[in-house]
Amino acid sequence: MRHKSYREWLRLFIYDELNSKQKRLLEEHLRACPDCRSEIDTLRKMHAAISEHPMKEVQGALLQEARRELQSSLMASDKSLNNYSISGWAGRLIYPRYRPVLTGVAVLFAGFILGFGAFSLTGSRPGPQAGTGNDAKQLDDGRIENVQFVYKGSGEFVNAAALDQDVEFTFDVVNQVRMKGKLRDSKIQKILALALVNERNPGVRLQSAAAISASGPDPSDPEIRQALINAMVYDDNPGVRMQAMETLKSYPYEDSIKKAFLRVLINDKLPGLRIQAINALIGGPMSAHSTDPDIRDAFKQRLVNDENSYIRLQAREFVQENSL
Amino acid sequence: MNAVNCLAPIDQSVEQKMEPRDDELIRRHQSGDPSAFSALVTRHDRQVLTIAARFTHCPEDAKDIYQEVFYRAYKGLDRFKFRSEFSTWLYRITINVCIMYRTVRKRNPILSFDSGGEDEINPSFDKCQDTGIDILRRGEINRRIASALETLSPKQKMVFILKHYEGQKIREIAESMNCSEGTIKKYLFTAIDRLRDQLQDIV
Repeated sequence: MRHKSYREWLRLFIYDELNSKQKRLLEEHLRACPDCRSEIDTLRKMHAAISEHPMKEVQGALLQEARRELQSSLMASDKSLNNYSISGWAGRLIYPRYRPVLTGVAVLFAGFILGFGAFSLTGSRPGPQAGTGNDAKQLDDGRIENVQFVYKGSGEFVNAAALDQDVEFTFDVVNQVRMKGKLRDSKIQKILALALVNERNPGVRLQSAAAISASGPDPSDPEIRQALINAMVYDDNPGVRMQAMETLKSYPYEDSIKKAFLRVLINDKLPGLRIQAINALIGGPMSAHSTDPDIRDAFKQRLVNDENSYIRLQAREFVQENSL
Repeated sequence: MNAVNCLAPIDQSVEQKMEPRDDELIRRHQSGDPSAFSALVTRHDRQVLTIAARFTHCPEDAKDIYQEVFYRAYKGLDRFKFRSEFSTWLYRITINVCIMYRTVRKRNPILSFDSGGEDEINPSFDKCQDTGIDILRRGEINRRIASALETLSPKQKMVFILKHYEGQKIREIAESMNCSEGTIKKYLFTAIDRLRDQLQDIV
């Protein structure tokens, strides 16, 4: 057996990856080879030193935070959820990833509460109370959605045989609102941004994205910017992603936008969108940041991994021009 | 009506006795049960976040990866065909997302998880018999390890993390990463050699 193979076995031995026959052969070799004895001694010390640095277990607070952000993210993107009842702008826009806004309504609303007791649920929503005249009027005017039964201790919530038992559930009453205004009106833009993130119908999301684009949104508005970013990165519909990207291309450079374009370049399944991401990164406001290590790394990765030959070509040109 | 009480669905002791298996939760999710996915998340998410944290050395990046992993799992679970365990499938998603993810270079990879900022004392070493020299030495080793790991490609780094910290067999890593065992060994050897070079003068 070649000496090089024994050298490889030394590394596998440290990690208990050799079978008994291989171990025996290695031990025989070690008796005869001082270089390998020295090497295995070094490897053992190294293994011990690294093992003394046990990477910390994840702390509970980080896990809780991650769960909360996931909840908001999925609530914003889950198309199976019912429409939200809008009760004022400030508490209603939910960022799919970075800044969850948990209100009493959002909490009750979740057909998607993560973890039994894993979250600190804040606030409560004053829902409609049974049996009042005002509520009856409200129910007549509105649409009932998102009925959620409250479970009892036994795990059952309805016993059909006990007709006089109590049953408890929550629901949302959604009143339709008609709104008309100029595209440049910030309130209109914010409603469109909400639709872009939450609306189930892709055609409506596409219209919303197009309307936002036509309105010439204020790039400094964080809610609209985040809605566009989320649409560009996460929307199921490629047309929506493309439209959001077209709008973001004209935005001034900003780290979150850069990251979003990089995510599209690396992750989007459609080569057309990845190409558009390249165009955004090498032209326009992003082009001044071609030395950004994240951008450079993404292009290096695409040069090697992309299945599309045009993208690999573009990546090669970028890498060469930037002397990587 | 108190939102918290309303939403505590089943008391804990009953839930533990009735704890469904992963495949049952998946089927419930596929049938439209909105609580099924949350149960899967709370069962498996600590491991996902731990791998992400070990890979990135940065809590913000680890959370990003966590979100991406479960977002993909959520989107893909409707089409889950039960050809593997859910945990294996989730593991593969986690590995792929980690490898694709690019950490932000400007964050300091050593200090992000240390509560004391400049203080790199690992609590497991915070014993009264350790001398100041021991503490400094371990801090230096930590820096060298992180520095060596940062020179690796994402796949090499992931193989080392799965091998050394997660204790996975090469065969299991190969299956998770959809590579041959030979490729995994190559990655592992490269990682070991880099670490060896970094630590040789101080171990």
